[in-house]
Amino acid sequence: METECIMLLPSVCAVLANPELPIPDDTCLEKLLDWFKVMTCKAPVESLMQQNTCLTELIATVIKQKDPEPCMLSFIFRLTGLLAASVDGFSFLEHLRLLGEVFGNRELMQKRTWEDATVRCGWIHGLLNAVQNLKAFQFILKNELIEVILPLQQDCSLFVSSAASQLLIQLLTLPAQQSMNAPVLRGDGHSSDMKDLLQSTSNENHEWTDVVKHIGMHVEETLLSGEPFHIEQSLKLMTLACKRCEPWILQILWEKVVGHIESLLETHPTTLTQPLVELLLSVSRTPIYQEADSTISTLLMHFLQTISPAQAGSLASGILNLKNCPQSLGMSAISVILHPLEFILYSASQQPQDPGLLETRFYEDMTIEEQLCRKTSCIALLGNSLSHIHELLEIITQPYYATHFRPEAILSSVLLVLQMCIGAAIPTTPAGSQICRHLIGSVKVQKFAVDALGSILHLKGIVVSDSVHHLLLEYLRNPDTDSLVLKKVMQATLKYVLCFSDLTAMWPIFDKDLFPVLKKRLCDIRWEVRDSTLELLTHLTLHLQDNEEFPPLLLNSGILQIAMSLLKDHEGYVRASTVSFLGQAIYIMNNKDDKLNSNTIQFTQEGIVSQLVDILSQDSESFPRRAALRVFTGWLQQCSRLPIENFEESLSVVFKVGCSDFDWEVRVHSLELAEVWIDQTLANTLVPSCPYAVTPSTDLKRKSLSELMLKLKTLQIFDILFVGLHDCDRPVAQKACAVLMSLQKIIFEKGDFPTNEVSTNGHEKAGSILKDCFLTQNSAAQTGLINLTGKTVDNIAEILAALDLKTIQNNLGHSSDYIQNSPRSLLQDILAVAETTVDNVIDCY
Amino acid sequence: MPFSSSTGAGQDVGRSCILVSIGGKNVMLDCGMHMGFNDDRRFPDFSYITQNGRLTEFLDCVIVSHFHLDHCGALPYMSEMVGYDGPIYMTHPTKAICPILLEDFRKITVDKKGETNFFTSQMIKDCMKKVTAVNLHQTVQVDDELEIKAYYAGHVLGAAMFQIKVGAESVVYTGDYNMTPDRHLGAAWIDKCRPDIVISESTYATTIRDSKRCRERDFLKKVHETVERGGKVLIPVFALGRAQELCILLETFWERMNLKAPIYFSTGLTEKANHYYKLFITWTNQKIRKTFVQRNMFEFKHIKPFDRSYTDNPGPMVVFATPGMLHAGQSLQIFKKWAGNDKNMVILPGYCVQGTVGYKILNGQRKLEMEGRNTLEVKMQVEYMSFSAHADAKGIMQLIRMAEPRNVLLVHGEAKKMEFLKQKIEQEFSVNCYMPANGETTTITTNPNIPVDISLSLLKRESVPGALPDPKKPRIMHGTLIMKDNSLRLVSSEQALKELGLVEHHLRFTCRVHIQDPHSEQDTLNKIYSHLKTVLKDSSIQHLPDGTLMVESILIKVSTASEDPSTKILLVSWTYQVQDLRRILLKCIIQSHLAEIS
Repeated sequence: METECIMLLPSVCAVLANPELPIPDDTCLEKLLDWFKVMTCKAPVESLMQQNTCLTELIATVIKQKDPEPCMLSFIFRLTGLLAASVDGFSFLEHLRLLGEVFGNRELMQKRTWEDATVRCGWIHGLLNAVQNLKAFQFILKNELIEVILPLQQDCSLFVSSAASQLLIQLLTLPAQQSMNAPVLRGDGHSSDMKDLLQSTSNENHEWTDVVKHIGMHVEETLLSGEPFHIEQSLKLMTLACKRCEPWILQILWEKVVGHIESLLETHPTTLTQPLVELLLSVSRTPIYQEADSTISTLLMHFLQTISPAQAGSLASGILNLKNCPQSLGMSAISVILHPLEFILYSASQQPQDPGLLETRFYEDMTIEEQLCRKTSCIALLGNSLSHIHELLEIITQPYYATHFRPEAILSSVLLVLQMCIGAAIPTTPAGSQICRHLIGSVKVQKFAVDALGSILHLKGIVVSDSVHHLLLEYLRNPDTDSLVLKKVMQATLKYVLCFSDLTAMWPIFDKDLFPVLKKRLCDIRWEVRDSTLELLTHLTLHLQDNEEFPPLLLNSGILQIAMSLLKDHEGYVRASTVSFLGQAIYIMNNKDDKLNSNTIQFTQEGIVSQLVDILSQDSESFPRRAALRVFTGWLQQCSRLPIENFEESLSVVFKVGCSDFDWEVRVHSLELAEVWIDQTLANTLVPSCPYAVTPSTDLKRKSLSELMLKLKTLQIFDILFVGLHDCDRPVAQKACAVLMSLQKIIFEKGDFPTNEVSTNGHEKAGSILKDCFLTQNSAAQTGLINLTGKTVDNIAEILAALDLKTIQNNLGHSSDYIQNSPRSLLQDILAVAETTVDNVIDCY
Repeated sequence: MPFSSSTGAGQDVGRSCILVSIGGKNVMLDCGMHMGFNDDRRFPDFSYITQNGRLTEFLDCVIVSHFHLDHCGALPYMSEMVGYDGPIYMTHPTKAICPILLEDFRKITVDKKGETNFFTSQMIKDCMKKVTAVNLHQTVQVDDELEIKAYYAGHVLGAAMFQIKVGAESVVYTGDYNMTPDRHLGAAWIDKCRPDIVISESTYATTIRDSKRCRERDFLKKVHETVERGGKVLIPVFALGRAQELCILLETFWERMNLKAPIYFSTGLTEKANHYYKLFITWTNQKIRKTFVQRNMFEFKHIKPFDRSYTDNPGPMVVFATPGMLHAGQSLQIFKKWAGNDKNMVILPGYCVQGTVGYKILNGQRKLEMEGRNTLEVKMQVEYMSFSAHADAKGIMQLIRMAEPRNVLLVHGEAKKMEFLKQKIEQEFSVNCYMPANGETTTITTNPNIPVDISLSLLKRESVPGALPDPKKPRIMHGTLIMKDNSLRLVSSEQALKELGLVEHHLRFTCRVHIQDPHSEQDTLNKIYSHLKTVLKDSSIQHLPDGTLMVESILIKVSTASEDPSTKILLVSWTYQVQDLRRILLKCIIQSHLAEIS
């Protein structure tokens, strides 16, 4: 602990113990506990308490108060728990008789304070913190605290009940964690062996098994209570036990409850379906599933049959993800998910003998028909089926299932659903017509179906038919398509295009269908649609840039003209996406041997630069400005055919404007651009040294470096780097520092530049030169302006050499709020609150 | 109908996030974050809602009441990192302004703490694409059963209260609201929708505060005094919202007083902010809307964009700078420069979380440790002025009076202090009032009214001529209830038969009455006929050819008991429509017979 903190702690404890003084807000107390937690991990807790007696005094004072503040009492519980977590800490507190007073105080539980959920929550969390050693375990048994914990597991506060469940699980697992002669389960793990083991061994084991039985009885009772909330909490407790308990404990608990679970499966309110699903799936992931697989498999199968098809999706999906899932169960689960889609296929099939999706059906067709013929259940059921297609695809491509299911058939059914949603399907059965009526305009089903389509298109080796692109185009053209559905359709379109290794057949579709509809969508009234369209175009441009046919198609489509107008869109997001798209599109057109757009100056890189500079200097939002800088950086990084020198004039403006931006991310992007520019320029100017050269290579290098330095100075890159180093936003300063460090390395370590030999007082000198430069602009450092006009390249090199960048980097490496968030700052804040007389009213932000 | 204050909004500031289950639908109300924490605790813990992480399956929709981060800050986390893909609703101004604040917050978080595990700009954009914007008073059908409707809430531009309705059950969620108009916004309003419950914020429910006008006057006075003595005023703000309100305040004051000291706005968002205020002028108050044509309040003459080089300019100035808690960036940098001069002033117009410089100076700390163990001595004046517009106890009562809910649930307030308000609400409105803590579930039992359509012909037939329907005087209507195509209709039996293509079945009841009469069957029947003719003068009574007597539709047949010829058995048969007549008839027969015997 820092000395200053040690000095502050007694005053803080005194403040906290004084009921007259204002209490700091809850976050202060939480953070204080965080700090104590760190401290208890670092040092022996007993000595910590001995050295800081104020801690135990605080506990003793607050616990004795007549009517303590609930949040303070809660804090005391949790603090005591933290200190009692280690054996030495526990013994020390026990010796002081504090533990009984804090946790075993039954009177307190009768008081009104106990009605406050914060207090109960603190008590549980305190015990949870403490139960890290067997002494604490014994303490709970001795004081019969289980009797208090069990009702709290059914508490009306979710926080309390959840914490109580965790505590009970901790009690179930602790002895095993502490290697207390835990009974070892034999390979086959039969319960008879378990009983033998429970009857044997030590007292501790008996106590432990009593606890297990006690908790088991509690769960049993609550499952029988008929109270849904209580049942739900117990199901959650069992689920948690499945995840954390030793198999043999779980076996005992499971044996106690399995009968009741079976009854619940028959007659449960819908609110309990999900907790039951989670419990069954959790227990199926434990070793007892292997031991008694037939029972649990039967339960799973039975539950699949019991719950409504619309609710069965998550259970079916969970079953499919089980290790060693019996194939019959797996097939049933797949059938549950696919049956609604099978029915859809059937309802629109022209020939009844067409192969469907399923060889055997889990439900009666009547059941599914009944569900699909009612609008609410139809949408719920199909939504459920479609939302699990992604996981299902992973399963049915496995060898066993692959022979039974064809992804192409699933694709057909998904396409059919999508057709039904826009009224483009022709159902052949009355049920089909009814389903169509329900689905027309259902955004929910459309979203799930397009997601499912995307997952199918992502499958390797999937055979896609023309109907896919017809449907996608249909959706893209449909004026009623919801904007989010359109976004997903566009993502699916990209996946569809990427399915083809040979795009020859696609180009006419691009030309005649896709680009025209995208042009329309670029003019959509909804910004979301315009933006998604631009995102799709950017992705297409990125992925298809190496195809000879793509750039001319794009150029002649008229999309670029519309995109140019979108640079003035009223929505910042759209302007930013336009900048990204145009940057990429124009790059690929200029990067051809035969420049495609030599006649259209506006679509050349040179032509658009001025527009990007305008955006950078004038746009009111940061996204377009950031995008403009990323375009420049991208161009430089992608080794444009355009000589870098052609950009230099514009770049000097870009650097200047970008680095004085309000948005620190724009400033960081500007420095990144500078970094790329330096790298590229270096790559062009630094000639490899030739052993047969007349002029020695060092001279050449020095010459090249001097040129580089001069360029950097002319473009005012040094200016922005030095200013950046003092930026108020940490990432900017870090970036500037990183670029300067790499420059230092290039120039002095590799370049053998003369100013490499920095005098001992170099660092001070650099500081004073920099300060001087800043001051010439009639302002102190950090105003964002600097003047290096009068300085020679050598002067600048001198500054650069003398800068102690490593120290600066180290300082910047600390988060800028490390001081404010330090324990010392926290303690000071608590003291300050106590001293303040002004009540700063609660407010929102 | 359970309401779960799932992970926030119970009794503290930050992380408003309420789960409402109504009529089998699950709706999340707000998805806020807690700025006081830097770790997972800042976002709601969705595992309390569903453990399998499939929020889309569980939730039917998410509704965001307004753009403050304690109500919307966790939205990109939820939709893009946890993976919720369902519908999200908010008003048009909230949808426009929300991403600006989220981006502002993201930048500060990434800048300050260098966090990488945080939502990105792209995620904010993708999240906003999932949002459906709603208009005031527009009923939005989320699905066939669930509908929502937004009402004006005041508080900030675009803030709305939402009514959520499933069948006959409904909830009103107020979010933050203000019942008194302020400088640029109007007062909250809702119609008499009589919801099953109103979930109301109660931030200032028990805080006695001076009027907002007073605070505004105080603010202007302090700024003016500082400027007059040549000092500089720093106002740390978040990019949008309160900043604009204060700008209007200063702009009009500067105009009125003809002041010359420059006012700067440093966020670079002035233009954008003004654009939104102009765009959503209909959401502002009446005065601004009226004067909009002559002079737009949001076109500032005196407030100019800030440049970093201005910080060291001599002379007085007022600067609005971000972030609002003085914990990073421009506002902190300016603060460091101006803190040492006692002529200067910093005014914090919003809440500051622990650890920030804002929190420290508000709590009186005047020597602050800065980077590199440097100490910054704060000599400048420090002021805290909360301008947020929340309803006070009076406002909450007013809203309850307006909406007439059957239950009230208070969130966002201190338990102890709320108790008083709870009692007052229960006394005055005779409704139950709840105030759950974070994580507590409150269940309300509803007694839903089920609306039934009634056919016009039946209504005409059943209604009293000339009398208008009175909701306070319920009447019983007779008819046949038809449940068809998810609707209920009350029609006449004839219409029901016709509509449903059914044949009417006539059900007759029969009974046997034994009477002592030694005469022949025909004589007995004649005697009954004569007696009834005298007693039931208005009824049609006739002999039928088969020896049966018919009184209206009641049939009476006389037979002799086989074991005793002096005992006659009357077989009476009737339909349920003439139940009353049958009773009278039998009474008459028995009485007349008894009289004769005696």
